[in-house]
Amino acid sequence: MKDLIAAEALKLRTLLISRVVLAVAVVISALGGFFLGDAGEDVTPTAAVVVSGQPMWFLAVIVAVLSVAGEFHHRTIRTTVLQTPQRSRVIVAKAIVVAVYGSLIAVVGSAVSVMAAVVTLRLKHDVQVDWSLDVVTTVLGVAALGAAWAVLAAGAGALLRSSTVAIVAVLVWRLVLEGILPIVTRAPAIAKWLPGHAADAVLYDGGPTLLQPWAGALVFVAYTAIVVIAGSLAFVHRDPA
Amino acid sequence: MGRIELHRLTKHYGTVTAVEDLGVTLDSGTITGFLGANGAGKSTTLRMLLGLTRPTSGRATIDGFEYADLRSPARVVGAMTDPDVFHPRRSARDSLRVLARVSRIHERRVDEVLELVGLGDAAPRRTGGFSMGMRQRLGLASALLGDPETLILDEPANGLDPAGVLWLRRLVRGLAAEGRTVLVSSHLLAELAQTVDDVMVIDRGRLIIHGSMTELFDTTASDSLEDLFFGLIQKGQP
Repeated sequence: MKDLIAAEALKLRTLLISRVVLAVAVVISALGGFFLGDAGEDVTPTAAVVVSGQPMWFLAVIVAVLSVAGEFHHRTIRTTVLQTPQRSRVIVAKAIVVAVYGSLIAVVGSAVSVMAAVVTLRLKHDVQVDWSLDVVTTVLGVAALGAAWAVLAAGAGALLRSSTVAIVAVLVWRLVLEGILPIVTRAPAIAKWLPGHAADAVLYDGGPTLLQPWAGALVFVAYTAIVVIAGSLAFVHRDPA
Repeated sequence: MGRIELHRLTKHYGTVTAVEDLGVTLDSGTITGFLGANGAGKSTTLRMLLGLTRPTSGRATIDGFEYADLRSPARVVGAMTDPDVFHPRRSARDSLRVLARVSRIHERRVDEVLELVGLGDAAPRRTGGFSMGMRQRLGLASALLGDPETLILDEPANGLDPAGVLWLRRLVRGLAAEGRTVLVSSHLLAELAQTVDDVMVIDRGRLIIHGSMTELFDTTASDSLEDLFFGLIQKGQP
């Protein structure tokens, strides 16, 4: 398994997209931190971490989907399963690698966002930042969610086998359907039980509109598990083209 | 080592029968040409042998093991199924490094096989810029990476220029001379005739004939592999 994970990590490292996305993450986080620091004097490092979280997860989703569905698109899946005919091992190795990438991108984004916010606060408002232990736990939360979003996206990639369809499906679900569904069903209370809102509950204090952080984490992990199990079953039982 | 056995191998896709009750044993150290018209079931048979497609029934084994049960398949079987199985934005060398890493093959071997197939200078180039012939050579390099006893090559001469075809023939004969078992499918019958020892012909998913090429020429009164092949296909039986 160690060799398989190393090979999957090598696949990711040898593709330009993984480095481009990391560079985009740095730029977005730097801008987010700058605008946050520019906006007010009472900004905390924790807020800078939170503000970078959402875009980092989306970037992790893109890379995770490409790492799985991209194999079907480019037909590299054939060589992958020829090398490792035990397909369930392949999906586990991919999930581990994208989880590490997802958490890495989230941590890098957090660090850059915090640095940009702190420097901007100091230069523009001459404010010394109050550091608290909260920032560490928030970074851990952002990193865990980065890993979870990446694993969920890998599952969607395995299920749908198309990078475009999988990325659009995840983003449309998160950005459109989660907003519409409570309205269409006339049940606003279901919103907090949907995957995106459950993930948000881990970091945001949304009062009654969001679940408790621990409950949000459990619900999001459950959704991730469902998508990954469905993707794994499709990956194992449907023969590659 | 390198014994390939197909035992009552069958594959149905819905109501369509791609391969039916295929049974054959290929001995070690032979080069077998796998012939059949388009849609005869060659690729499906090779895919079942390589674990890429699950048989409806029957078994396909290499050295007594189904492909899925091989612990380090690249060291047992080298497969070339399609030249378009490399990521276009990954270099030739990195494409093979990834495969080598899975099977704990030293990176030195990556450079060796790239040199062997004549892609040493192209190793740092992205495969998206490769010609069909270069992708075929890279596919061969990936098949040879684990120095396997058995080679399964699906249309390896496609896209090769005449010099490339000659190079491939010498390579395959050299590999067989080392005691390896080679199963090669091809539409280039004249070329195949100069490469293989044995012939296996299928039609509409069923085995028509299998045996030594020279013996089959005698028994069917054929002068060439084309004569033999078209004679068998027209009759539908030996």
